[in-house]
Amino acid sequence: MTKLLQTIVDGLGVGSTYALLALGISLIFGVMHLVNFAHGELITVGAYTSYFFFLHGGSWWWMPFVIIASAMLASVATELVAFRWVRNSSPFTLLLTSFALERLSHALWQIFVSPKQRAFPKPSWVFNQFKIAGVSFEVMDVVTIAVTAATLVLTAVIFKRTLFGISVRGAAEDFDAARLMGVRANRVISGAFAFAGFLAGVAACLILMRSPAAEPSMGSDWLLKAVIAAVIGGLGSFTGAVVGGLVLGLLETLTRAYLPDLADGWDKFSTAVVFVLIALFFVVRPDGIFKVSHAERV
Amino acid sequence: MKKRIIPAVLMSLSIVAAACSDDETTSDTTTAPVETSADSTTPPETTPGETMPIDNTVPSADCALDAPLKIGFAADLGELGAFSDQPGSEAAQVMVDMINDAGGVGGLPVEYVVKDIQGDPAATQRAAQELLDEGVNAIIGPPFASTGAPLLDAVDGAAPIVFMASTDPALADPSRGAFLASFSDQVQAAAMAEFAIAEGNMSAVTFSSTDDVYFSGNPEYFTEVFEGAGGEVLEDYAYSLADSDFSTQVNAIADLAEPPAVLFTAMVMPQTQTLLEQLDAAGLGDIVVLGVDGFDATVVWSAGEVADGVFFAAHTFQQDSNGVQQFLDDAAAAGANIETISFGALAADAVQILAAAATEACSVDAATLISTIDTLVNVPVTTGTVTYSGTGGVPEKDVVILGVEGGEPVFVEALRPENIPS
Repeated sequence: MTKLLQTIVDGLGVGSTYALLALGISLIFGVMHLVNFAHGELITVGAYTSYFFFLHGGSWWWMPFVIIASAMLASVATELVAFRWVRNSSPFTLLLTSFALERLSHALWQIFVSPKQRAFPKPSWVFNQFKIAGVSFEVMDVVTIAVTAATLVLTAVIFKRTLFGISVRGAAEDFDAARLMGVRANRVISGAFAFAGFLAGVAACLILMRSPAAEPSMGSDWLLKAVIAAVIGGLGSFTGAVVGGLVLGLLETLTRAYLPDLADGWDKFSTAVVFVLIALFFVVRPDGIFKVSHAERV
Repeated sequence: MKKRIIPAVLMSLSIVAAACSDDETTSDTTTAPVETSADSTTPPETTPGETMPIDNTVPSADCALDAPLKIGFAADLGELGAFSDQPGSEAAQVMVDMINDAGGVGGLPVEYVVKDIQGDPAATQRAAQELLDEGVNAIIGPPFASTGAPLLDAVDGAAPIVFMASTDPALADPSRGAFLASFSDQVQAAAMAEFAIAEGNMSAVTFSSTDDVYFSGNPEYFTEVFEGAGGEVLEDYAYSLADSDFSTQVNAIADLAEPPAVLFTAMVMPQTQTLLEQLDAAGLGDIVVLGVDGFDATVVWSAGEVADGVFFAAHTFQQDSNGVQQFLDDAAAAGANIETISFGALAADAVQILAAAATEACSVDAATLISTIDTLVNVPVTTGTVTYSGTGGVPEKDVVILGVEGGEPVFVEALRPENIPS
């Protein structure tokens, strides 16, 4: 029971970070029908921003604000510089543009900073543990879950109670109809990118507190997991993105913890088993957990 | 129109950025030949851990070449291999300049050209063909088999290849002209196992990842030697290179009836730091963590206090008895930025090995160079001495074991393991 509880908390901790990133991907997919493969680069931007600030006396007391701000700015910049100009192009063009941005980001960090990893300090409490009823929990796992929960509540409030949120949801459902009703496309899309940047910034803070280092391609691994989480939940579904992230995190930790109980060395197959389970799930439910309907131009 | 121009500009920027990272440098510094002192046909006798003070340049024998030795470096400057090839490509340039300052090889200056392979197999094969077209007669190769094997296929014996930072024995094949400049994974894992046993540690756990043979092979070799010497490996824990949390594995270690004395892994930073922190937080800080050259490549001591007490295999360390510090001083004077000592020194070794072969054979013919490298014995290089005779392309050389004390790497010992897994 102790092992199960610890594993679930570990899984929710990892899954929370996936959920934040997946939510950003789903948000952009909702308004632009774009799976943004440059989304993971916002983590990289946050990491290098932290690195540069720590070189000049940075502190984790205010670094989260800097990371979030840098991710938001970078996200809006990608929309203004790249995606705005191909907004009405085919999904394939949008996809290629996001790939180009991802590659450009890797190359720029490599050329102008270093292809090598750049480390900076982490908060001292991150890996501290505490016990409840004999079960050890890591402080960072609890912080990650709590921060994610608070962020999701904030997200829900913004998207249900504010004009911006309602506009984004309307645009996600039927962009043409939303424009006819007075929703300003540029503002909504820039806002969506800013909010996706905010979510990526929060995720970046949680990632960097645990692994305080910057390297050019660090966003790619996280991006892959986030895209998988978004697809599990149903691309474009906000609830689905969160559920998908948590499911993926739990699947990863549970398989790693319990596969060795079946046979020695089976934990080496944990990643493969996770992907097999996901593939089987899509056979049963190809649209993900939550199917999203979009109005399409005909 | 504007809508089409901006993405085009973006794509162009991407291409320009990629092109910028595809820099090519050449060198053919010409200097007057000078008299040299040593002769590689009469190797100095050394014992493990004791290398002879050497001149960093390879001495030229009584030989006059008709054509210069032209070395090409197929370097991964911007992707995974950049940890070694970025300092390595600069260090090789420094060594080429030093050799040329000392008179070159066979009375002619060594020429040197770098091609960026971008961590991509196809780009590697294009770079290999370009190097051959430009007339290189020896090549320094990248650290990973994913690009090293395509390089080997493309070159196909048309020039000897010395893989500067690879520890993958699959890349050592003298019949195809391929050699390593460093020891293999089997050797470094065996060295760490024998070191652990010698320190009285009889129980261990390992961490391995199937994401690359480096991360799975080293723990496997360690286990074979460790258990062969009477130790017991209690568990092998799997991880992925994308992991940032090892709570599951650390909790499992904490649940063992007896905590292991050592933990061996080929993991790299920042994962290693996370693992060390989580072990410490779980009250398992007394477990001695052992690693291989990945700890050196990714600077494990940058993890700070938590890395104190860690031990790892390294390719070299500057000591009075070797030429590393002298080489680093010369490199600094030349303005080279060599961040990772081991991988700078190994690149210097690769140049010295090729120069020694050309000098020994008094030829830059590919087949002659390959057969000569395959018979070299106790050649003095920057990190010590190397022997290729009868080794299958993996040089016999010391494994340096470093520890971390006070946030700095410190020399512990240099050894050649007795039991090396096949």
